[in-house]
Amino acid sequence: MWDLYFLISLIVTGYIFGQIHERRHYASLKKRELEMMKMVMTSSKRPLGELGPIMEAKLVQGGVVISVDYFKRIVTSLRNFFGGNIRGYETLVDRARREAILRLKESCPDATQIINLRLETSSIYKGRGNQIGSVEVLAYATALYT
Amino acid sequence: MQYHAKLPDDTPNVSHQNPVKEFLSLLAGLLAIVLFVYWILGFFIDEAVEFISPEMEIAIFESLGEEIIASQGGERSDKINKTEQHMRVLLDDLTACMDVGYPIELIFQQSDKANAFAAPGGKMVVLSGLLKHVKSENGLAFVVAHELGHFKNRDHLRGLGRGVVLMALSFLATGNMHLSKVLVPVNAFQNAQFSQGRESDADERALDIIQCHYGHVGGATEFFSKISDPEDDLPFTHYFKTHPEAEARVKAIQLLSQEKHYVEGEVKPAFWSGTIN
Repeated sequence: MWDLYFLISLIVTGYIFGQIHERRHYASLKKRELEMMKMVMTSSKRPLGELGPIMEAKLVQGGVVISVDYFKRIVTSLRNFFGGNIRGYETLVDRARREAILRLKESCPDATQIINLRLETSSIYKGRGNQIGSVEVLAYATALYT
Repeated sequence: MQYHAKLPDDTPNVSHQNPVKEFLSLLAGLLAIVLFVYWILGFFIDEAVEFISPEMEIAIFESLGEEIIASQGGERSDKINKTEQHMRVLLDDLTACMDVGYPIELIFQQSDKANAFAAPGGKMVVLSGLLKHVKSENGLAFVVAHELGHFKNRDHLRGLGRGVVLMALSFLATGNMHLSKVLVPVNAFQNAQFSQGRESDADERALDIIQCHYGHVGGATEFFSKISDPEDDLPFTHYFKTHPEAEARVKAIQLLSQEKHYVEGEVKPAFWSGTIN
């Protein structure tokens, strides 16, 4: 029976801390996204509009690794049984993508334009059955300076 | 072409359903499925148990007794050995009244818990804490006879079979040893349902054995009366989780002995003295 109490306390702890962390992260994302909105960014290979002579072009990147909490891990295990959307992981990956893009923007605040934006996702601990899963998102692009 | 700066849209990519709700509905669904399959397999186990002969049972669980004894560890006191010898004699007397089909080996273990159980392979385990709470030989004999009743009814195999099925099911369903503990309530619920009938059957057999051996059923309810006394704060919770409420059980035993026209007589004094631990 103690095993069960231990498990329940893990789930509750995972849920509480996971939710607190997620809410804080979203608040921070929204605030920083608003601040960075002015930066022109595109996934196109060519710059948007006429930039004139380009003085410098460099590779910029932003990466982030986020771990899933215990509660989400349990919900996902249950979800694996029935199938369907893994909602818990949707927010996880969404946060990771937006954080990676923000970090990329923050790495080149003076760039005139950021072009050729690409995102790579990889899961850490892949295939390690009982390990808590984490996701890594890497955003990379070319920053142009005029 | 005009460039419009815009914030990421967080509505389409992320579900906003309450995760707790999702968790509870998934868990309820899984519990319902496991409960159903477990219930069905319970019937199969009851059938399968009939096909396991006593010889086969002993062959399968031969080493179990040694493991139980080894798990105890340490030296056994003379007092324990002497009480065990007495208890073996009592067990032999009681088995003379009802043929279980194979020899029962008694294992007397030192413990604070007041418990006795029928283990597969004809191993009857009696914990010494029990002796603290029965004051007569007849009281102890009823508990031993009750376990004999379980052996006769092969309840120990049914219980074990259900345990194995539940473990396998929960592991299959969740694919995770940690998560499989979420399904523990299924076990408790099913066991409670399953056990009540089994315990009553074993009580009935025990009454018959006691009547046969002593010629009366005095002391039969001693142990359970002791437990139902709210003044006594005894460590019984573990044993009686799957047993009918002690008080109701005492009444049931009394009713049964009335129906069978058994009478209560003088009880024999205990052959052990004081605390065994």
